[in-house]
Amino acid sequence: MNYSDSSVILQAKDVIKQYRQYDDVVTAVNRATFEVYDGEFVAVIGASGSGKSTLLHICAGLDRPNSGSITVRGNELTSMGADELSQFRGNYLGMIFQNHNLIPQFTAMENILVPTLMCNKPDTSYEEHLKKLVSTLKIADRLHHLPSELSGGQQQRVAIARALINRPQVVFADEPTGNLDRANADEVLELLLETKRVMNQTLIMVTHDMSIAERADRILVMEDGRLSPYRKSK
Amino acid sequence: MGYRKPYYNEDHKLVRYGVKDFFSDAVSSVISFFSPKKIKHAFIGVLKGFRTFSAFFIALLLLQSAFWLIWLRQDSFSSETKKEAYSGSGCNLIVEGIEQEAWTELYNRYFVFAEERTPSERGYTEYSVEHYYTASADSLYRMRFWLIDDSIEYSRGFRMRYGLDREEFSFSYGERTGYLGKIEAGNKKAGLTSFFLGVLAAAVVSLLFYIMTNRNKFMYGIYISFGGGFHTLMETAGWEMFAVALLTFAPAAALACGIYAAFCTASGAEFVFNAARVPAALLWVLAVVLVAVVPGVYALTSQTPVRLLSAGDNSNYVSSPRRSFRIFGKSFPFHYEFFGFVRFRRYYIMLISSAVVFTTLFSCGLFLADMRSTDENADRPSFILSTGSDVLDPDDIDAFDDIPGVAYTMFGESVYATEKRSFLLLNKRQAAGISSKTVKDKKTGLIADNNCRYSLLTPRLAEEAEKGLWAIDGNLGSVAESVDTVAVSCSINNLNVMDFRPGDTVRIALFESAGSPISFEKPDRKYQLSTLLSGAYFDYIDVRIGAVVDDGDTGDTYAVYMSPELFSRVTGRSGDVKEVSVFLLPSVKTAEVAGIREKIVKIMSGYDGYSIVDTDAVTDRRLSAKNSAAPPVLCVSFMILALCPAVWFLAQADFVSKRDREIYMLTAFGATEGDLRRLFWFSGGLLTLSASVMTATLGSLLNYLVYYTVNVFLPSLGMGSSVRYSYSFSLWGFVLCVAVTAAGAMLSTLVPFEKFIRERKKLTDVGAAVSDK
Repeated sequence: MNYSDSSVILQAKDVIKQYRQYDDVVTAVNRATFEVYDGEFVAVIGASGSGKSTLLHICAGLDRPNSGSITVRGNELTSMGADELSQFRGNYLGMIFQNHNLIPQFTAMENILVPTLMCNKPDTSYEEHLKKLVSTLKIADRLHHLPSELSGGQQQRVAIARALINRPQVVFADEPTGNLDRANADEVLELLLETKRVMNQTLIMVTHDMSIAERADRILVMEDGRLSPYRKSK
Repeated sequence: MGYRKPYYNEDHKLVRYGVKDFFSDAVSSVISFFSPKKIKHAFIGVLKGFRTFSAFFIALLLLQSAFWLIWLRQDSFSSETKKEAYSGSGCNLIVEGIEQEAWTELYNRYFVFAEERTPSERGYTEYSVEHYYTASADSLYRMRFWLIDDSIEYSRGFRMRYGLDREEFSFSYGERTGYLGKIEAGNKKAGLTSFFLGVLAAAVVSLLFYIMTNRNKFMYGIYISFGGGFHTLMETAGWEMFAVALLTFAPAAALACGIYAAFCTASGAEFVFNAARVPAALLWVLAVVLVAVVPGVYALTSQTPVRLLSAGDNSNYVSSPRRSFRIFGKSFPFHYEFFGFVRFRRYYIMLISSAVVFTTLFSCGLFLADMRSTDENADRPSFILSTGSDVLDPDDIDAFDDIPGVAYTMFGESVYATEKRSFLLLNKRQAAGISSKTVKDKKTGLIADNNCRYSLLTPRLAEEAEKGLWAIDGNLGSVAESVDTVAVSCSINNLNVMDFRPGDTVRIALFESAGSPISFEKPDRKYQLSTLLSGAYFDYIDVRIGAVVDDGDTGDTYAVYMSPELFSRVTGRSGDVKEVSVFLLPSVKTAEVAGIREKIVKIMSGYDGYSIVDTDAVTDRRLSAKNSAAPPVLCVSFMILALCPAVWFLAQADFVSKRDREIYMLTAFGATEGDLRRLFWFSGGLLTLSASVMTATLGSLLNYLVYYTVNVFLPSLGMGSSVRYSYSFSLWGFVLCVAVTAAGAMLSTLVPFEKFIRERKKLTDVGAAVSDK
């Protein structure tokens, strides 16, 4: 599918992220510039430590770059205050972490509902959506279990449900299938693509699994912090 | 109406607030904050997570109890003060100096008609008129009024209403109005103490909140990742803290009431519960929580989610791969744990600092309670009598002593050395304690000092002082009759700075003349002394120190007592007594003071221009006996000390819990339970040692600093108590501080570890049971 006619939903411009490690400065992201179109599925691939996750975190507003800008739907994330950025994330962006990052003291249901609570959404606004989500993700019977009582695949589904509950326009997924076996990985990917299609979302996924990346509309390659100007049409 | 966030328009552009939205934003934020759903969740959350919030429960319970203790004492004091004022024949208003003609006019104009009205209509319940004569035999009237309102404002209005505000009349307020001043002063003091307690409470809650948020960084990281901002977290974390405050509100009030009721039972004071304090206490604690939580939440939400999500491990294991690989060499666990101590130095410094602060506050509390107790029990004159210009007849002084209820009288006259451009010449030892205030006299090589006053010592005063009022080293009686012997005190502003010994000699320099006119541009004593030494001529009198005395005075100069003859020679004054302080017996009641005063007035009325200052010492002493501030101060100090282990356990439980992974890793590498126990004993021991040493040294230093500020520095500025109080170190308080710190450090390390071991065993047992099946 060609998205070049669609509107740009995310624009990264000259993004640099550096860390200080003892006396050295490590450049995790080096002048990354790219655009993502509305409804597009972009996969970012690269070796471990190449800066993929850092770039994803910056794009999702979870981390701040040293310089450069990230613009989502015309709103520059890098110039927003902490509070404003949080609200923007809650309303427009969804994040799926590699290691699920579920709150261990909360049940699956409570974990899923964290974004609604943080954005003060009234119960009525998400009830129907929640039912559909848990049904699609096949976790309806595990909602009252703690994360420690769920399998890795189930935990990742809960994490996906949490990322999607506020109907975000852009979903960021950091190796969502990294901790799963092939069967579970395929199933989770299918679910993500299905919800992306149904909810007309943009999906940006970091992965080192080429078989997953190949299903993306476009692949970006990260190498030593640099994003290669690489485009692969399906 | 919900909280209004910045919104996105149809083009998905963020529309931020403008100034006009400020008020609607504020209102909707407040409404959102008070949403019943959030309040309910917060209450359920803190009750279910009682163990997590236990340190907050303890801290807020103790701090609110301390607040209540302050005000229960003040309310009881107010009630007792009023009772004392009403216990005798004290009135509200006294108008004196009314001539016969004026009295007749006043009576006909106001009081004849007033008699027919009710007390509320006329403004007083009763009045009395006394006829008296002045020393110059003028015949005058004195009116006393018992008003329906005790306030000063009402008295003022009353004087105007009844034509009593004439210039020729003199007026004064009686006990029934005067007590309001004491209550007002007490209220101000209690208010100030509450404010400082509030600052301390905010700091403690803030510290606990910091520890808790630090512990739950991951959870807050998730919240912020999914839209949680300052407002949202304030609505959750803020309400949790408010819930703890509200849940501890009634128990804290009950605890304080119980404690203060016990004090009242012991002292015989009336226990008073003022319902008006309930909203004040509520506002106080809510303000404390708000001040404590807002910066914490702000700091938390200012961090990036990534930073919060990645901070969740306190493993020493990750500190250095090199050390990690050698962990089972001979350096394990001691070197291993020692490096961890260095690695988390900021955490340990903060922890130890908190112990130093709490124990210092405790020992300062002990010190203040002791000082307060000394202050309250100090003997103070009830009346200070002055003749104006006349000399007091010795028979009259005897007459004061003969009044029933009078314990003794003290009298004397003092002249500052600077007033006479005089100074003492001392040797180095004698002046070593005030070397910064003295100047070396080049001619004699002695030390010139003018931080003294010359005081009259009559044989009669020496006799009174020898009854046990002063601590005397030497023969005071011989000083009072000698022309070349003096008695000296050694204290300036509560510090024993002078090193005088009986038998020492000192030289008194008396100003004779100056080569050229001397002008003192600065009021500084040392500057004046230097100026005098460089351009004036003196006569010298060598005197021997016959006695060194502790006269209970704590002024900014030490006293040089001398016989009337020497006093006259040094100061040029006659040495006659013109001022007397009258001390009453401890058994005298407030109601009896007015009668004693009347008898004193009769004696003093023979002197023109006499004045009598009533210091209210009897009332103060009786009130202190019933509502001493010392026990509540002591109690609050213990409450503050109890906060120390609460903070330590919360912090350490969090810190040890974050070492779970490390312990599992060490176990996987073969560490036995014994190894781990040794590791934690070593950790606890190291912490105990550091904390104890720091508490003992820094705590003592800070304690001395507080002593110096309260008892030396502030009195030197004219603020604070003028009662002598030397620095005393409470040994049991010191031992308790170190013991609490040591126990807190050791137990807060070992208890969470033992809990971890127990839980691990439970898991192992379950595993074994499943395997058996």
